[in-house]
Amino acid sequence: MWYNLLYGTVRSWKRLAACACIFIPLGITLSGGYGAEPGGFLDVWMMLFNGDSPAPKDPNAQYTLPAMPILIWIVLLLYVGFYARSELNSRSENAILAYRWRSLWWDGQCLWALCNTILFFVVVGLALCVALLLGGKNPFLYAQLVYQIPADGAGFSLWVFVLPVICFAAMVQMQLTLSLLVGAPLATIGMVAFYALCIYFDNPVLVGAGTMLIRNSNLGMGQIPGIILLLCGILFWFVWYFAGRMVIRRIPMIKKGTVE
Amino acid sequence: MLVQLEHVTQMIRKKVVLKNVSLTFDSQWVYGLQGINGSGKTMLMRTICGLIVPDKGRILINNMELHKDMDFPPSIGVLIESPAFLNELTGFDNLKLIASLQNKVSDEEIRDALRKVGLDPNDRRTYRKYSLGMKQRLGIACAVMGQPQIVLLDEPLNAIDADGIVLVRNIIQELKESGSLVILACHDKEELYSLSDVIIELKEGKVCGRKTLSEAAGC
Repeated sequence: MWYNLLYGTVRSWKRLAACACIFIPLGITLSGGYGAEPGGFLDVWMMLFNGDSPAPKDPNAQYTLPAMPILIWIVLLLYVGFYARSELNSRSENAILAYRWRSLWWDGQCLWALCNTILFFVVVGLALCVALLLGGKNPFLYAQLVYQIPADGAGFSLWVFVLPVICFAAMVQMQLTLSLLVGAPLATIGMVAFYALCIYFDNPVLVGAGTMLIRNSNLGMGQIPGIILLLCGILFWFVWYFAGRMVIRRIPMIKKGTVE
Repeated sequence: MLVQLEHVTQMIRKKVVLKNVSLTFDSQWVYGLQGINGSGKTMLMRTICGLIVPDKGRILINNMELHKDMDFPPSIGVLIESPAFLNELTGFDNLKLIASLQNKVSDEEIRDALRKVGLDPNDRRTYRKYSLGMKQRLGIACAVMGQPQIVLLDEPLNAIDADGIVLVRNIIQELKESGSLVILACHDKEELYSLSDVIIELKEGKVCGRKTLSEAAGC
């Protein structure tokens, strides 16, 4: 399992670097470009993960899905979403048989996905720092937006950093499980649609709500308490992890398209 | 080592790939699977090694049931279809990576397996630069390293030259003498008969014949 984690991550470094390259210009744009109003890393991070309010209840009101959270989700999916299925399609059968138990193989994939989701957001953070430096700003400057938030200390870190990552990881776990059944491309499309629903509605069960800071009442913005979002995120992860464990017990572990 | 298949039936995407297959494999013999493309040889191998869970029936390995007492046989090496390794690693490093999953095969055993198939353990070329024949040899080395108790070889002679065929014959003989159960499939009937002690004929997923070497030679 640790082999899978270490080596699988090392092998993915090019895609991770590509993800970083996407977030650098994004960070420059969010920080207002070179020489604009000073703002720190936290400002840009919060702008990136702010999300949007749910669709208004008035059916006559216009609503457009925000691009930023969907972009983040798609980039994350392209980084982690194809790994498990590609392991079945491209690796030596001896590598799979060496796990001895199907569930061990599945645990390895889930651990990889979880750790690489966290790594993805660490890289996003670093990319934002680079973006700020390239824009002539000091990433360690005290954030302006931070002073408007009621939470502080550990609570602030939990709601601003940990909660979005946990909720994204929960959705990644769902995609991982679905990819076993319908293939990675279809699962990815399905998860983008699912995330759109999470943005459109305001419901903690639609766990994508936890990825958007604006939905969290602990940050003085949304309607849903942060603890509810957090618990739903964690529960969601475990539900899809165990669902995957049940699926992996029966599915053929063979390359896609093989019938003979 | 005793492998028993009892009334194994398998469907994949609504197609019956194995139908009520009952077979017993004993490590005293080398078994050759004979049949045209699509007859079920490869699926049979995948079912034995646990990559496929049969819809009906069961598979026993030394009286332990697959998918109940274990998911995969404890000591097995396979070469099924074209071997798949990591392009950026050398042959040795690829095998070491797989061996590290179980910590049962030493570096010396890996080197030994590579030498047996005619590959240089110290070759620093990455897998990407291997020829087809070298890739096939590496696949065989992966299947036999550490002397597994069950060895499944699907078309092991693909892309192998005459020297390589001799090496593969020696490997199979050595595996048999060490008590391993060897099951192989080969489209070349002559080669299959020369390598095997027992021939099992498959047609449309069903076993339609089983004969020992002496019977086969007499046909």
